[in-house]
Amino acid sequence: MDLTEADTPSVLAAVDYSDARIRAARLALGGLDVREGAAVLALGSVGRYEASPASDFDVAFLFDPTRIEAPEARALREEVIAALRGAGFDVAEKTFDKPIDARGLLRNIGGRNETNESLTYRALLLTESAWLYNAATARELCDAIFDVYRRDAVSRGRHLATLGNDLHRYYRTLCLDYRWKVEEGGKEWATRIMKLRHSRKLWHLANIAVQCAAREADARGEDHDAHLAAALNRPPLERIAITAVPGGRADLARRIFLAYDRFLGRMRDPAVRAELLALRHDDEGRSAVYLDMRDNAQTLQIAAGEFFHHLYERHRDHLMRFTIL
Amino acid sequence: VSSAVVVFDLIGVLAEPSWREFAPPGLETWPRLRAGEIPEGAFWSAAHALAYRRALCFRRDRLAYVERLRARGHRICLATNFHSGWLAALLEKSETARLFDAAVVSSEIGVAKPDPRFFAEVRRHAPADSVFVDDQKPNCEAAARAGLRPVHAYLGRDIEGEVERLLGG
Repeated sequence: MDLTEADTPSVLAAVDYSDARIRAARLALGGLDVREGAAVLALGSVGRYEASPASDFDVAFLFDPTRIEAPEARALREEVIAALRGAGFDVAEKTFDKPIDARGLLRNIGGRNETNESLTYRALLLTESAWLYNAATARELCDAIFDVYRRDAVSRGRHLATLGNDLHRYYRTLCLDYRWKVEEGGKEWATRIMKLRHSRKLWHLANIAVQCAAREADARGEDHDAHLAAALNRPPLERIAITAVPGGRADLARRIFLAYDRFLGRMRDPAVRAELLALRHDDEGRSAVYLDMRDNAQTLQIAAGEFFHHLYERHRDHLMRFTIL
Repeated sequence: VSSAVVVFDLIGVLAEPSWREFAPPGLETWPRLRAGEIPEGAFWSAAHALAYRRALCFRRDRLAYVERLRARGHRICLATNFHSGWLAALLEKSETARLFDAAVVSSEIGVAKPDPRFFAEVRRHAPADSVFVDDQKPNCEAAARAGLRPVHAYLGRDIEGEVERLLGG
């Protein structure tokens, strides 16, 4: 991609920081005996390898109710959180605040009893998760999620359209979650819109990219499903790169990397975060920080749009059928 | 072929995690540890050693498949680049030693996959045309040269389906 370390210092710092946090958390939880049927994974920016010291440390606790009962799972989760906090981790307990029945994530997909919560867990476990405790169960449960789509008898289609639709649905849910939080929930807006316009958008584009890459693998006679499963949990920038470079458009990936590096650099600056947090919507035109990030979002949008156009030229029918119409 | 031997790699196939997912970056003495040339204490800290032993665990889904293969009369062999102390800890705490008819461990025999000498040792337990499951492509290629039928267990692959296909199930 014609990039040096000096071109993307914030991307590399985020990878190094996230990796160090993940390893430190594994070691911190190494004092606990592994309870078969329970697993802990980092999600969010740590799981995407995009974290900075200012990031939340989001932790999902999964359990298989056929192997461990809910009360024991709750107690074990408390032990895990205490061990992490004892090691200095500021564990966020907003979205991920209780043990999750992993088997429940495999049922009611698309049904009336489905919740945003189960959609969220499925999407994040498949696309931005790193195990912290009990790698064996973590991988087994994540594989089970992928296998739901893979083994669908009627609806799966050749290209796992149900999985693509579910990830697409989660992206749209995030967009509407923003609307609800800032219009009715009284939450601050500026950080959220910048995350939507950078990290969420990149996540969505990366999902579409690897679906196209899996289609190409299929056309070459390779294992479509395995290709998709392996690519999905790579960091979004890496998903972009592994799709763009073999397609002869490393230049497009480069532009995305550069714009995203600028976003990560801004977001790791406490002063930038503080200004965005305090910014009233009516004052957006008076914030140099906000205007700079808005310009960067537009730069990323243009680069992402040209990359999508490249995908569209190569996979017109596929994209038209599976992501547009 | 109902009694064919099935040879499994350990980490990345039957059990998790790899020591690489645990260790600080830059450990360069792994080739010596896996060949049994140095003690674990010369590899990493006591805290890492303890935490890794605790973290080692079989995947229940893969272990269930091994049980089904055994119930059908297949012999099961482990073939792993691993430290024998780690394997002993894993088998002891999971009480699964009974599932494996043989284990070829690099630190015990002094050579590692994909070295042909490792596969010569495997062949003592697994006749030609035995199925060999491993997540590393060079190991699968070496297994094929040694007369085994490899299943490359790359991430996302339906391993059970492929083993069954080779077994004619």
